[in-house]
Amino acid sequence: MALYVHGYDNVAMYDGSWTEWQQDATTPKDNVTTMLARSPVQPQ
Amino acid sequence: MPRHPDRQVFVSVDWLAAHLHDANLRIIDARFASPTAAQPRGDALYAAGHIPGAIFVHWRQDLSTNTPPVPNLLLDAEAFAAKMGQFGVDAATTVVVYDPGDENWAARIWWALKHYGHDQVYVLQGGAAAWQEAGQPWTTAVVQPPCTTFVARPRPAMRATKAQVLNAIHDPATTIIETRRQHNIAEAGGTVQGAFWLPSTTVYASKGAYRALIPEAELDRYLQEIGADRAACLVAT
Repeated sequence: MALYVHGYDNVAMYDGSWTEWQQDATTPKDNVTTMLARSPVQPQ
Repeated sequence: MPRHPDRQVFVSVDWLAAHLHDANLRIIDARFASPTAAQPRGDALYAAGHIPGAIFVHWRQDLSTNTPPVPNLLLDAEAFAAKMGQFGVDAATTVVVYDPGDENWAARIWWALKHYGHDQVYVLQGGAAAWQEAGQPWTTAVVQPPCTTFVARPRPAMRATKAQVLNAIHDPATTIIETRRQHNIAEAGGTVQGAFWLPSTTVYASKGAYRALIPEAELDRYLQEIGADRAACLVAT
């Protein structure tokens, strides 16, 4: 929703991230450390 | 990135107070608490008091699949339309959704209605917290909206399937954004490979009793850092 407000129309939401992606052992995943290393530093 | 200055997602407490008795208005109380949370469930909060005229909608029980193996996905078009019809929402209805004001549950119902083609949907800025802080009316009276017919017009581009996410991992034109909190990601066994982290806790900042979107320039800075402003497609998880 925040992206839509800010003018982005090219956003697709994947609402299976909490369940479908987790349950499938074959889906490629990164751990938190790997994700944080590539992501902007954000407020705590 | 082109801007849409006229784009409206939120309505203010003052706007809702002035339109509270509009015939074509449907207010949805979307307050939700995780079953493991210590605070009262959303339906208990609703029973204790809510904005006059509001109906209670539970995003998980009312608007999601509840069957294994994958629960909590948005209902299909036919089932969603049937629910909205029961809630008295049709093409002429303006929907205002609210949550406590510091959560994102209203946004999910906003997205679901947009996804199924209903554009007259807004989120109450500041939610129940802002409404009560302003001293607006609060009631325990329950309304039963008249049933109507909602016609779902899905917008497939607003929703990504697992297959599309798998393809997006290897598509340099797509940026994947992980919006969950760190502990949720860890509990889930990780995020989608290649995803950048931009959680709701960053995008919404505390504003007294509730949270509001951070300024546009601030969000832009994060989006530029992850290349979202140059991506042809964004996938938010």
